[in-house]
Amino acid sequence: MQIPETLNRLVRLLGKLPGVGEKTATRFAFFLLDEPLEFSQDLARVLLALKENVRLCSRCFNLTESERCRICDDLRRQNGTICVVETIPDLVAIERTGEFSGTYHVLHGAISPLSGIGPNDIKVRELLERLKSETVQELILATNINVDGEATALYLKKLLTSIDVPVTRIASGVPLGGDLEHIDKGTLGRALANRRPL
Amino acid sequence: MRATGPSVESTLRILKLALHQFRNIAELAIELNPRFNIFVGPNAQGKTNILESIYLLSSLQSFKGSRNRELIGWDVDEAFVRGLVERDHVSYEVLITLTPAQKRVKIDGKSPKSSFDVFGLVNVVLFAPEDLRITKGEPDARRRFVDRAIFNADSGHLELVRNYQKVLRNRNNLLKQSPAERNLALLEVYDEQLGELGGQLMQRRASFLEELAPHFSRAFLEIVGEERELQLLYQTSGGISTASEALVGALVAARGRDLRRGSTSVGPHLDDLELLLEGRNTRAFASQGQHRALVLALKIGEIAYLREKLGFYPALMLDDVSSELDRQRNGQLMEYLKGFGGQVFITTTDLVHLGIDSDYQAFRVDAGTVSRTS
Repeated sequence: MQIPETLNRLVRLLGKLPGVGEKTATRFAFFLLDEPLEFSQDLARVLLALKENVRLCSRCFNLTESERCRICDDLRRQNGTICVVETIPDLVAIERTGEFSGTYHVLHGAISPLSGIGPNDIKVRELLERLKSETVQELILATNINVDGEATALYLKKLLTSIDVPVTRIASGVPLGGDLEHIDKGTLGRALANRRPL
Repeated sequence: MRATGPSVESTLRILKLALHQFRNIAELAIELNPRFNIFVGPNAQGKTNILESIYLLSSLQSFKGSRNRELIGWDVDEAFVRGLVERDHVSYEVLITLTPAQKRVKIDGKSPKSSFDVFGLVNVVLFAPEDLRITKGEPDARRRFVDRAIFNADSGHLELVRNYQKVLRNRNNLLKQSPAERNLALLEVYDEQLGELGGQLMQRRASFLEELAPHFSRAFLEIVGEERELQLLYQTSGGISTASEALVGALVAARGRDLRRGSTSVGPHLDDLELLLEGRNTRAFASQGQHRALVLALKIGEIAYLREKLGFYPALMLDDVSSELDRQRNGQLMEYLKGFGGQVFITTTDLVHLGIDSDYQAFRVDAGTVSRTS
């Protein structure tokens, strides 16, 4: 089909978005073409502002539009407890629970030599610096419960033996409302092994 | 859940099979016999492809290790395999749609939460000519036999094997790094992680082999018809115990050597299974006929093990096995099959050889088309 070059370029740019193929990109482009001018102006402004204003918090590496993120700036949060997570969506998930009132440290990845990610490629050094300069009562390792997340947690634990701070690992096991008979063996076995006194 | 009260024999049956653009089979829709299904035809007509499609329902993998592209017919981009399966008196429709990039699974029209909901629905044991490699070939063929049998009774085993392999590749990757970028603390982490998973893997294999051994000996006795001393020995690499701590210790001890080689020299990825007949290692000493009897006994032993674990017979697929076995073993196999309560799928070039005369349905396979005979 003969379409104007600008439209064509837009389709190619949109097609770079994750999960978007040429078909969807074309649909998006025609949608934008049909919408009033204000919509595109808004979108363009937000896109630029996103790149200009949004950056990583200098302390915990969460997203922020200023030097520090809202959580780090919040005086009600307990600075002495740091929860270490792999990604920002993980942080958001823990925030949603409303159970945690400390601060975070986002590693931006997990150690995986296979994928070429070593300790220096994620925010490990920054975490160690932080532990030296802040008074920390507890470090919670909330990396994923899979082989890479476990390796990352084990590595951090090993590095931290020289620093006198209690380290904990998030629990794993039976989900709330989980019928035991439907839970996979790995999870159930782990839940049994890590049982606690009542 | 297993029913209590008056017991009705539980079973596994594949009632119907439909294929669309699967390898050389453009369309197929057949009803299957609850006992024997025999696919007859000259070589290279598509008989094995039918077995491969059933195997796919069981494990989402081709037993030939083929990629999706090879499973999908020429000039098309989508194939499907649909099976109506009755397990423990409940029927399920399993649909696998293949595209060059992925396999999608639906059970009764719904996407399962994880592939582990699919595994374990259809339990099949395959016996193909290549299986003679189990006793004659390299250790990896024996490890694959062991892991596949454990997986057949407990699909969670696959996750353990995959996790172990992933951590192993991670460790190997670290070992290959230059001394300048090498991080020894991280290597210690992978020693621990590999030791933990490797210990679990060795313990599962050891307990499987312990359970398999009596079934295997009994099957072998029936096949050869005389009492022979037979041992099934699990050989861990480096002869270490199956405890995680033992493997961690061995990994730490092997570190210097591993760093030089750039790979991990100890762990269950190097395990072997030794078969001793009258105290002698069969891999080196057994005759061709004994190898056939041993492999047959391993497969029959696996079936008995699975029956004990699952509460019913797995489906058995025999791919052109008659041609591999001599007349005597063939007769013994068919004798065994008469007492075998499960569903059987057989491919053969000649129906007459089999000596199956009741409870069967034969299908003629000719250049990708399949038709019922008689």
